[in-house]
Amino acid sequence: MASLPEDVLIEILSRLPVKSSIRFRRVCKICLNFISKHVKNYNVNHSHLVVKRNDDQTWYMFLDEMLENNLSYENLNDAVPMDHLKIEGYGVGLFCLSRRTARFFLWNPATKEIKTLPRCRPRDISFPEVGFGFNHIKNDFELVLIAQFEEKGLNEDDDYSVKSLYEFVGVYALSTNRWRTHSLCRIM
Amino acid sequence: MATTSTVKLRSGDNEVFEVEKQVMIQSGTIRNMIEDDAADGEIPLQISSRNLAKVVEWCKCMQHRDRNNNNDNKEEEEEEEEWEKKFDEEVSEDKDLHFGLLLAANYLEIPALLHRLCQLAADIVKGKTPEEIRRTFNIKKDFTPEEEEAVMDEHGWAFHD
Repeated sequence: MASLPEDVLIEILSRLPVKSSIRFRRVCKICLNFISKHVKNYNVNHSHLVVKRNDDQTWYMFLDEMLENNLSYENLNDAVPMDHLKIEGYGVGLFCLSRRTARFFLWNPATKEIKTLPRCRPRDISFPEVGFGFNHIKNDFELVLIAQFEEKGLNEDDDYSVKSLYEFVGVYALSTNRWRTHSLCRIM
Repeated sequence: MATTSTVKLRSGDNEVFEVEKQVMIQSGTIRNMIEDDAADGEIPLQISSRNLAKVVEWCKCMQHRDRNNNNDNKEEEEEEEEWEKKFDEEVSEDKDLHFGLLLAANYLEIPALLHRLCQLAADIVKGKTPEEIRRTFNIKKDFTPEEEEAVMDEHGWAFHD
């Protein structure tokens, strides 16, 4: 039996719903390359309207195609497959989620994938403020974290433990999967 | 230009199909041959008679539909829809026919037929596992075990339903 020409295979892949196309990445190299582009195009070309309710942490997502047909929406807090999550932000198809312990996740509702981000150092942070979005200049998803960090140390004269408070900015980029930390300044 | 109004297609297993040129110009490959006056004799095709018959049948139905587009004949419209539905069912249930027609539509350059068959293929495989998909399309797994692991790692955070 002959094999399917590459352009025919791509014709078929391009007609797959994004949700089920993820599985096809493991089929062969052509599939892997194509599906990665397919998912990215879907997210760029399908605009979503995301609404955050004022009173609590409830987020709703409206798809543009849904708006055209009939008004329907997804309550994202019900759709996320993990507990105790807070939705921090949204940009071009990806949501940034967090847990109480300042653990961050990226969630793609179209493919139902969740990516756990590496921990930001230092670990013991408090009062984190988070911003998430797509950086069109760098063509990358970025998460910005501003938080305070407490460092415990020993006083040289006596054995009192002292605390120093720092403020720092951490920037996570999806392309490198790394945090860069900026301006760690002492505030106390 | 050639004077006859029909074209003769010879299948891989030596069956000859005589079809109106007007029907077969839906195929880019055959249209080029007609325009180059290279279609006066028989055109040999590496397509089995079973698959070629189906392609010809499809082209006839589409040409008939296009010609009647301006008529408001409800009955004929319903008949054509019925035919297309039957075509979809037949192709979806017969893997060899589906695969053969995909190759034939690609080789003969019939975009509308190719699109239809690709949509049917996507509908069929969307619920299948990677191994089943490879078997369906006769795709060779070209990952080394290390590469496959890397794909799994990279997308290991995927949640599957």
